[in-house]
Amino acid sequence: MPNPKLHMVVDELKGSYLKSLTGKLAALTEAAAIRNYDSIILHGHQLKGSGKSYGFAEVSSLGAQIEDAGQCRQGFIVDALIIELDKLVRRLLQDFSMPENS
Amino acid sequence: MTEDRPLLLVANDDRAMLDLTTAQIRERGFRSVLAAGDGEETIELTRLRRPDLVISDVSMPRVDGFQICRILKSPLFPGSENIPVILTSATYRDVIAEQVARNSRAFAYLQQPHEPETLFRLIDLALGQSEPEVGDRHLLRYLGTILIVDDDPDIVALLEHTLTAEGWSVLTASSVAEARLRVEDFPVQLVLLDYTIPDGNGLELLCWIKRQRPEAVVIMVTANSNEDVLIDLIKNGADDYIRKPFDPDDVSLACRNALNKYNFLRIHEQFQEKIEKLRSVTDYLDLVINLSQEAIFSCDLFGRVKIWNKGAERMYGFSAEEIIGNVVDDYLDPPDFKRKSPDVMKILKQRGGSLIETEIMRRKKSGEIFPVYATYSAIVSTEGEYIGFSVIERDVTPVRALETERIRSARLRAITQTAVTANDQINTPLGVILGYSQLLQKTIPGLSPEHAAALEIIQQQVLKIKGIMNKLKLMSDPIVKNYSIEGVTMLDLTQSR
Repeated sequence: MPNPKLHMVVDELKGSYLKSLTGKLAALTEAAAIRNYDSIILHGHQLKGSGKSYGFAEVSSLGAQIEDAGQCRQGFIVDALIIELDKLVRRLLQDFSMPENS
Repeated sequence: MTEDRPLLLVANDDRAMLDLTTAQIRERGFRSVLAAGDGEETIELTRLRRPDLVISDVSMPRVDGFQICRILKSPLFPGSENIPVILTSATYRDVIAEQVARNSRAFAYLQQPHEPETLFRLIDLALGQSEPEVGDRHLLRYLGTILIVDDDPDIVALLEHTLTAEGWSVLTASSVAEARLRVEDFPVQLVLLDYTIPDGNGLELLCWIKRQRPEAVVIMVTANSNEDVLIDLIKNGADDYIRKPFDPDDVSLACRNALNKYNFLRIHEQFQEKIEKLRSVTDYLDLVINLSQEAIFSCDLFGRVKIWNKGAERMYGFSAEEIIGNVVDDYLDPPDFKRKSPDVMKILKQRGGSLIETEIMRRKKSGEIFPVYATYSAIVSTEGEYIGFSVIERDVTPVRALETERIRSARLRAITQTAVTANDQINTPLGVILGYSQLLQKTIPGLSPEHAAALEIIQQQVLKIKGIMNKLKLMSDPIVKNYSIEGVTMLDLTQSR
């Protein structure tokens, strides 16, 4: 049976997680620009693990795709996925009424 | 009249500790503090006064702190289930006690000695006067200490907050090096270990943790969906795994299961240690009992033999198989022996549990009757009930022989002393008799041949007596014990009395 107390804790943490995503997006963009696949895989892997845990399944989905594309050395797909992720993060921040650089 | 709230109830059977704790709490500003000297009084006061918090010692006679907790939380005590109970103990300082406290639904378990401030902080938390903070985790370490090893700060933050909210004491590490330090420095019970770590890999760290702290339960947390990897982790000692992304409820459940496993293993381990200790003590006692030259045995209230050592086997000739379970009186008592085992129990109760018999007669399997020195001790159960008696018996036949010899020696000394005295006393008159008889022989003119022969016989007899007296004097020398007169020893002389 779900524990409401735990889910309240997760809800309280969502805001700071979304804020941290902008930093991760920047790091990912930087890694993609120089085709640092190890870094791309690591960031994709972390997003895959954390997104849905915070209640953002789409973040996990995109993270998994970025990890896979990184492992296959498919830079152009990574670029496309980063754009997708960027849009998603903006939308989520908007939904949470958070300025991107706050 | 309304009572000042909050009302606290302190329970301790140690009067000094009870007074101290009560005074400290009053000093802290709590005006209404009740004191109970035992578990029953605690229950009664709780029923009548409905305190807001109970602080109870665990080790109290009849109703202990754990039982107080369970009673207050039971349906038999409606309305008291929400009264928090802080348990304190100087006796129980292990994981079993914490587990029992947890199962008894205590608010916290505090080991003594502790700082007053620690108790005050727990009181504040229990009364809801302040919210738990990170620093309080060790006080409320109901669910043990957990180490989160993950390089993703978002995952660490999520796990740390959710598990702290659950009551865990949480430590974190973002690298292998940091994780090693934590494991070395803290009594970690559970590790949530990320498979992918920048300065190493989860598998290597898993193996290291299992070597370093084998009792710790390790749950692998991984976004890796490769089944072979997971199997490999389990093969290398991982107790469970959680897949990322995860649901906090699943993490909570996995951690609780892991803690149960940890506690079960620790309890099992502690039982094993206690059993081993007990076994070594029992083996040692067996050795002591069986190597004893004395007969050692124990009986129940009816005299049925429970323990029969090798010494008893040697002394009486009955083997343990023969006698255990049978009434000892039927085997060892001579036919005319009146006192039976129930009488022994009565005497032991009257005399406070022990009885020493300097000499009673016993019967061997061969039928021989012989004297023993016996010490009886009552066996009393932990509840104070008499459940039987133990006996140590020593064959005193050799002692008796020595005593007889001692008596003979004393007699011998007396006789030799008499001989010395007699020699001194008799020699003089004998000399006189001899002298006068010789004088008569020489001075009486015309002594008839019959009278001369009579005087000759007197002199010969006197000389014979002197000879015997001289020999007696020689024998009175303590060194010459076996001197004999025509095959007669001094021992024979003394025995002939």
